[in-house]
Amino acid sequence: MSTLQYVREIISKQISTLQNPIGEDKKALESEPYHNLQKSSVLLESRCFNDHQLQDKKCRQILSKLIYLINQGEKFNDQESLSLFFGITKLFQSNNVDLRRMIYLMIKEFKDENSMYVVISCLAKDITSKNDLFRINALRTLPYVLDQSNLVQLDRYLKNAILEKSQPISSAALIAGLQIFRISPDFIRKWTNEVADRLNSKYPQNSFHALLLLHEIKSNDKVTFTKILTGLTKETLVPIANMQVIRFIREILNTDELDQQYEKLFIEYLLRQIHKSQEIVIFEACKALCDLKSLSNKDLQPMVQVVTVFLQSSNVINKFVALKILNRLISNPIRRSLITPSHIEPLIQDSNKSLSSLAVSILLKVCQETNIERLLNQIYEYLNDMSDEFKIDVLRSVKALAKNSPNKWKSIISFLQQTFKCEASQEFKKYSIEIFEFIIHEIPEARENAIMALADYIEDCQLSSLQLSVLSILNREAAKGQCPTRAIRIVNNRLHLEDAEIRAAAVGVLGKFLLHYPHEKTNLIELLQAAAQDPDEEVRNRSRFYISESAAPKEENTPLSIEELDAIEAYLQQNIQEIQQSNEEVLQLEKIMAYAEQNKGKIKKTEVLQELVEEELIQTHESESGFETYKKLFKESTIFCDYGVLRKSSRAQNLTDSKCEYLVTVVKHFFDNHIILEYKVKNTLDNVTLSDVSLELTIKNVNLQFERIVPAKQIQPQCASNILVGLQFNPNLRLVSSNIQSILTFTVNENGTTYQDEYQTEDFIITYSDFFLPIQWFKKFQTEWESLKSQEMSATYQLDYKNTDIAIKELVKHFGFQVCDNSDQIQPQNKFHTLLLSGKYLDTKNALVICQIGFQQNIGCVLKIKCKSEEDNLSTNIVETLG
Amino acid sequence: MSQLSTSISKIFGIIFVRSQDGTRLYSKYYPQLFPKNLLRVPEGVITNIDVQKQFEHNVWEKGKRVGARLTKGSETEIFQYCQFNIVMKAFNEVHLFVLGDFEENEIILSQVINGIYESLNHITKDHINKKTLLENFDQVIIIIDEICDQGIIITIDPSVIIARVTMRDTEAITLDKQETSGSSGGAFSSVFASAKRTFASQFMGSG
Repeated sequence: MSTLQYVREIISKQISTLQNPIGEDKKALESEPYHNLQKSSVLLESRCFNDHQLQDKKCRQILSKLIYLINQGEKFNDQESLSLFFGITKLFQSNNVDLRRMIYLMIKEFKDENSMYVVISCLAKDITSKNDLFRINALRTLPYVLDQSNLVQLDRYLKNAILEKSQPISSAALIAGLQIFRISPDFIRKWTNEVADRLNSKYPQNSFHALLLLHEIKSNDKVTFTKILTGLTKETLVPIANMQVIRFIREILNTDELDQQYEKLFIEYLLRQIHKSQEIVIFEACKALCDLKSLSNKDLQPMVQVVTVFLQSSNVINKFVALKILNRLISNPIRRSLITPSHIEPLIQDSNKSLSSLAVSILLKVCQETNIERLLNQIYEYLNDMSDEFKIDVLRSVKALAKNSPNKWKSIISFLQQTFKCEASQEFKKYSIEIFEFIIHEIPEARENAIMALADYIEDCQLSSLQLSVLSILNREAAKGQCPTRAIRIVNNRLHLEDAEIRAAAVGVLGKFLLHYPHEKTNLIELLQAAAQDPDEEVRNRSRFYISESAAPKEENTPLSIEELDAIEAYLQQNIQEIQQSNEEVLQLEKIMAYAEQNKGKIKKTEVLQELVEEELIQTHESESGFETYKKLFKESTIFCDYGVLRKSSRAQNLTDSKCEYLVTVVKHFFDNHIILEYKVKNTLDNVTLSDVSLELTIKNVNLQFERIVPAKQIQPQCASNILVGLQFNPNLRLVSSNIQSILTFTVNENGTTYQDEYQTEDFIITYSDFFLPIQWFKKFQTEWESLKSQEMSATYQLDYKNTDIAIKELVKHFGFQVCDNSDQIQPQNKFHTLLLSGKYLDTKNALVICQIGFQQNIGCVLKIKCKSEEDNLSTNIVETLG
Repeated sequence: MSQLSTSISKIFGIIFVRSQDGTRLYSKYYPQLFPKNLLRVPEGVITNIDVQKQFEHNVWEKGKRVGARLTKGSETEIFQYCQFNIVMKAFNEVHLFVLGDFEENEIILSQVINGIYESLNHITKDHINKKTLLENFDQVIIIIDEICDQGIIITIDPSVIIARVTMRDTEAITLDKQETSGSSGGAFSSVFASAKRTFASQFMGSG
């Protein structure tokens, strides 16, 4: 370090102490050995790598300082990297083992593709070294510096290393093989014999590593691998390999159509593993068994017994895993009777919060009515420590509780009220509000308390979207005359405290009160008159409307129906300009009444249509005419007409297998800013009627939001009905993709007894390709590309495709576009492959894509994508889908 | 680059942070073996170093709440954060976390963290703290590199790890006898002897 630098450092230290006189933390940091390590000074030190007489220890220290800096996020520019890297290769001259060890680590940490070739010869030398430790490390470092050209050269050494008697060397080669497999799978596939030979190695980790690599080698040949696994079930394996065998068996059992004979053999094997002595094996086997739907509760009894013993263990990890297994088991409702709550209850008290919250979640799912209150209190204590995802899971259980034990509504409401107070995501609170809504609808005696609890909540709520959801519930209930008048004050407070959107919604609620609660009239008119002075136009108009509405003499003394009021609101919205321009004359009562009268018929008509929609949707088939029918139906549907024109419908997709009691399919309908999911549920049972069939959706993408749902009221035996779910996607995006998880909820009516049940269907995905039709509307791609006068969007990606062929297939699948000019045929002489694609976005906008696919040895598949379409925003989105 | 099968047992990351503020001492992530969707955490995409640091800070905060009762290095806590199973240990001024995905065998994670613990005990002569870890930083990073290669577990037997860290042997050495680092045995040897027995039965397993 130069003197100047040293002085500078001291001064800067002094300044920082002056600025932070208390600085306990600072002091703690300053006493750290690597505190204030500067890149420049370490680089300066590293010049000694070029010395003739290497100081091994000093060099090792400098390397570890450099690794520290890299790990802290320090970046090196090209110049610095290059000179550093050449310095490092000089260090190979020293035969000091400790220094050599650090060099290997440095090469792995450094990861500078451009200079890696420099060290390959040094490594190749060490692979054949007499020192086993050098060999191990060289083998493990090799995948970082390798490219396909020198792979062939080294093949012999690697294979020999696998067969080496020394198991650490063999393991190092196998691990290297796993890493090289990612770069060049075909190359490693030639090693089958060598790897299989190590499978029976008597050394502990060796067989584990061989098993991993063999599984990858045989990833395209499930039949052979199944046979290998069958062989292994007869062997005595080391625990870690035993665990891995169970995992592979689980993979096969869950994903493949398996020969029954193998299935039986594997299941019997798993059932034997739960009696082994090592937890690592027992737990893996239990997890595998949890997922098997073909097993009866009786088959699983021994497994539950084993897991229950671990609940009493003193080891926190064993308890945690045992709970996790049980929680997973009862995600299938049939398994709930296997659980004895008293075994789990003590764990609510566990000082590990992760553990206690898991216990709570299980108990909520299996609990008895008498314990609900106590349980909910305990849960609340832990709520803040749970992850957001888990909190929602708890709410889901609470909702099921409200369904199954409606007379416990008091405890449930007070619990939900508390959830508003805890720190949690907006999604969580929205779900709380949804449960309130459920209670308001389903538990009449709880309605008033639930409504007031919601009203109280908007007093403290900061989020306007949540305020609006609550106000819309109040609006509806007030219109039915079922909202307690105590809520008026709270709603009125909104007019003084909130922004225009909320004020307008609040006026709506007050208006409904005014029309349906005659004894509060004077008071409400006063409030609305104040609101009529509001700075916002919408708020003023709404207030005036309701005031004049209440003043109208009711001719036949029949109050307006909700539909009529809605029609009037619609009328007002449509004619708002006219109303503003022509003073208040348009608002004359006669005119509004006349409009309402006119539209009465229409409303009735749309109601009829709505029934028709449901009827016909069931019968529609996947055909061209089917799409036209859908288009018409949605356009005329009262519920979904605001979504605009239907642009595209997907094919029906099965979400259940054909043996299930309830068959569920889904069709995705695409609109400009919305997606409607149409679930068709068929009840295949003869003596069971389903009612209130609804869905709980988990959408993994925040850019896609649940908006509304039309449940099916009843599904008779051997009948089908459909459930429509409206989703809205982020209006700034033209494309969105998400995994959708759906849980069907319904009441089962079987020979006079009824109970609640739920059923989780398979997940499905809304893909980017769903948005496109593969259409080519032109003759020559290039001409069309040039003539499309819009901005060209482009990006470059590194993708995980193994070869050009796969890349082409995957890209075509990804976009769902049409291949143009036979560009999916590979021209071997070209360095890059150019794939030309065309498609139509939601039947409205044409889009063109050019993909240039190339392979670079160290990096793999490199893709340059260019896109032009009739909307720049769309082009950007298309390019970004690969990111 | 192609993806390896998701069902192979693997480690997602190993994190050392300062107990005082949750900032990074040393962290290794092995994202290469994981599908892309697993790399997305609330803080962003984990391959970005700033995201990693924020993520570590949040793991540390959550870990502090969950594992408030941790006092001794020999104790391990377990919890979930996002899509990860996490085991943790608390030392003087340092928290250590080992992460696996949600499906990962929790016992393996705890054996890995114990393997790290025993090895660190050896190099710090039973005094694991921020200062000793940084003073022996060269050995700490090699220990991590000997336990796990890109997420694949190499070995968790501390006697093997130490043998390789010190470049003395490829296989297990009897640590009690090797005195080069000036260790006088003592507390370490006894803890270690029992640990070794556990490992022998857990990992190598005679059946």
